Amino acid sequence: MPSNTFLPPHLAALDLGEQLDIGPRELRAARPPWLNPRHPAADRALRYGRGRGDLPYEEILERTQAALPGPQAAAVQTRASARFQRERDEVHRRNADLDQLIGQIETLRHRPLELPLTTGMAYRIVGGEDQIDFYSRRDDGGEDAWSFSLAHPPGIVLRHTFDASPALIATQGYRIDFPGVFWLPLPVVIERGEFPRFQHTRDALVQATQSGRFYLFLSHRWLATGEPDPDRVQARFFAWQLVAFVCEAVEVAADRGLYEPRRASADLNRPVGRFGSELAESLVINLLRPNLDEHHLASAMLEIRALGDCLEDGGSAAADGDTGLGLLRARLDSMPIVGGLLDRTFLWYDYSCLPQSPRSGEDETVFRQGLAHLNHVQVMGATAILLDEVEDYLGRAWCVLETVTAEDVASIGGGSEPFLLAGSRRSTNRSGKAEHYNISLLRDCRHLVWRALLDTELFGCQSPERCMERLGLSVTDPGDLPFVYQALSRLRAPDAPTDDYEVVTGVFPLPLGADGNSARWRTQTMRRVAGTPDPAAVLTLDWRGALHLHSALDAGERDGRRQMVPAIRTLVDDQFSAEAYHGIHVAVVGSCEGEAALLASWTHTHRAEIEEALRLQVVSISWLASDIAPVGWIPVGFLQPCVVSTPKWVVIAAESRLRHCEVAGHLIEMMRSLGRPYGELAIDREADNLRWYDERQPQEQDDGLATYPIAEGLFRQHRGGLFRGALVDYLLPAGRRIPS
Amino acid sequence: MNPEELRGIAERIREADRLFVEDARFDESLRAARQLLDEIGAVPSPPGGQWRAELLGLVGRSALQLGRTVEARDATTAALQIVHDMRDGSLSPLVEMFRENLLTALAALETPTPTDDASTPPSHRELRTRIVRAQTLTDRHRFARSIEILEPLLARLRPQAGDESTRSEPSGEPADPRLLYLPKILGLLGFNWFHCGERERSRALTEQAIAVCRSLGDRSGERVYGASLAWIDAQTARDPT
Repeated sequence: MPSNTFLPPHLAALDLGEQLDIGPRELRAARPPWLNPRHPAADRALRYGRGRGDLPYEEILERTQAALPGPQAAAVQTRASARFQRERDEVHRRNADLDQLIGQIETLRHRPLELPLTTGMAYRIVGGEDQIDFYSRRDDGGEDAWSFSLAHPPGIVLRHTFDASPALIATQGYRIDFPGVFWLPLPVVIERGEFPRFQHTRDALVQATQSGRFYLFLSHRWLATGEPDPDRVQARFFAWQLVAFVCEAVEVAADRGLYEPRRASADLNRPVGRFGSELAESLVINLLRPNLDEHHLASAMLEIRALGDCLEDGGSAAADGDTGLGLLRARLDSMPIVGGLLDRTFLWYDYSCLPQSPRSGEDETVFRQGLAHLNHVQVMGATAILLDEVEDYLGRAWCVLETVTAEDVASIGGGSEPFLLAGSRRSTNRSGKAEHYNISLLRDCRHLVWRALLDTELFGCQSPERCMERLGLSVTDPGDLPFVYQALSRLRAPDAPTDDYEVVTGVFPLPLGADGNSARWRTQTMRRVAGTPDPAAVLTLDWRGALHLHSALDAGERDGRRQMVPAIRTLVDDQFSAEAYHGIHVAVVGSCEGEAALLASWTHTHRAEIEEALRLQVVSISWLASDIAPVGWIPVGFLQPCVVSTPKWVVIAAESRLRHCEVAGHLIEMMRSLGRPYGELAIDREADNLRWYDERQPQEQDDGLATYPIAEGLFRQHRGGLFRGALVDYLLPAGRRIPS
Repeated sequence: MNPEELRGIAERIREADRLFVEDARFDESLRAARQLLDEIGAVPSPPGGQWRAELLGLVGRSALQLGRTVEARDATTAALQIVHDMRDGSLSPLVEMFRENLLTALAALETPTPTDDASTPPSHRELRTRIVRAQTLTDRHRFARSIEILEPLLARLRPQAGDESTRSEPSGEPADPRLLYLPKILGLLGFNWFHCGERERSRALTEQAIAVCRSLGDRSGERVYGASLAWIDAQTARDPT
């Protein structure tokens, strides 16, 4: 039986010869002729990515990325790429003293109060971890750098800011008491210098939550089979860091004002002004505000000042040598206010909060109850991940479930992204911050998980066991695998980053020109940020169920699984009829073919709801996939431009895509330029998410909208799809354009 | 060398730099730079002078990453000398990069135990540590505490500057390299006082920063603090109180 490439026949048959066997690291050096940066089609990258078939998802991604014409600006991180970056990083950090001196260089550079007052100056902007650099062009062709801390950005960044306070954790609004769910008070860990075994600490555990307390789910690796933290490393790193974060929260609140919210720049989508780390900001609103007044805050600042600089690195150097946490206890003895805040902090750490094996019959019941509520524990509180060996962490099914669940909770507005804490001291995290490649690796794993689940649940092309295997996920107890898989498959489609090297496939709808004989397409990628029209109506259509596999498939799609969802579906007999003209075309944009097909299928099933909301009939539905990580099954694997006679469109995508994705942007900007009525449905939003824009004055010339007479050969099918950055130039043959 | 060979050398210099910047293969970038230096001995200036400076700079940066601090200091000093001798203002970005490397190498060559003796000039390490600490405090909006660190540091460093120009001919570098930290201290103090609402004091310090930058040939500092000064003046004109 031939190996499965999970590609359609026209791509699977693509012959790359022996070059298919070149490893991804060697591919660029080998420079095969087909790896041509001027080639806009993605067919060969997709084919190379699949190798000889049946590859794990990460390997497909690594190979596909290696076969792109250039590097992605927002590449999805794999364990291999993170390993490569870590190795490079470690080379820089062999000598701690030198590393520190070299690390000071950036801070020692000059920083202005403001950008030059010269009018009409254009800037290239590069965002760093804590700073932002503006580059202005000089007369000699070089660039001048203007570096600003995000604490003091230039005025243009501060023109539009918004309240960016982190979410309150669920326990602030509700008293939650689930059977089998227990919380460990932080002082127990500090007092004992370890995370105690459940059976040794059950009297200290609490079950019901209270407002004004902070609850933290702690995700971590087990470092030995019988106990997770045999050398108490996790305990001391966690305890010191949490104290450091509480102290940071006190400082931020004191500097900014206890009730002054964190602000973020709308243009950068980054916090600006005085702000702290995500965990410190969460502590400000969840722990400090309910428990401190200005007087106590000032006293807490005095306590912290006495500590000196020992928490500058998040306490990781102190943690490294504080076996048993005796030093931390001694420091806290003279810090009653900070200590009081720690008394109100509770953890969920599996070894301490679930009965451990061997279990009594009664404990077995408690264990099963606790396991059943694992997901709820993360919804109730915030999640922190103790990071040490990230690659190993991401090979563990339970750890990935916890990470993806935390991201999922955050994305639906119920909490913060998981906080990353150092689980050990490494040369690459001496500053106390997690390495950027590890952060992106954790954040990106959900994109592969989502595609693997679509392959399994929507397309039915593999078993759950094979799905987990291809994701590289394992469990110590094989009996856990079905539970973890089921929990993963309840997660929601993640928001994907966007990049010029996304692979665009499906059907690209193009507006029919007013003459009835031409198609309209763009000559530029620009998205308008100024002068955007106000919606004539803002309606509610809660279609979030479409983003969950279980609800989407339960809603009538299970019967249709393993069948192709066509990239365009016409629902009237004659698409040039009056009936079609007065209806709406729905254009769906998803992050991969599976997701786009899922959303299109949902739209088809639920179209009566949008028809009722807009009082317009849906006459056709098309879907487009813009995939930054094309690792899943690709049933279509081509891009087909297609003229749509219906002048009114609705574009359906996640809110972030509607705002930032260039593919959804092309559809929206075409409608805006033509002045045609159209709608946007943010499918991941609960309410006020269907925006309808009325007909208005066209702005075709200003917006670079070109006319293409319809003739044979205009709508050429692009095998393998096009890279997003090539759409404007290659979707339609430029030679067919009527000169303006 | 014919034009083809010169193009080949230029390409190999870029490749050596890529080994450093993209691959972090410092052994190899250092070896490649040394070999290229041997090969281009006869290349006249231009482009030979700039190439020699870039390659010596690359030797300095690579050696620093490898912990070979004496080699880093000597190569970077030689690179700076070449650039100064060329008297080409367009090479100022190279001067800034080499100075950063030189100051880091000089700090690395000091004993890693800072002294707190206020009567002595601060060491490189102490200067760097305190300026970084002050910048961190400024970034936390603690301007007064940042000033508390910077003012004593300025008082201890200023005698080194003397009344005369901070620039020493013919090397083009100040006799005491620690003076290269002076503009940052003055500029950051000006920044802090501005945010404390003391515009006059901020203006005076920023002007001093610009003057010292000019004297040291620190073009980027001159440009950056020039923009700050324009902003201070604009704010003062808008709101004279």
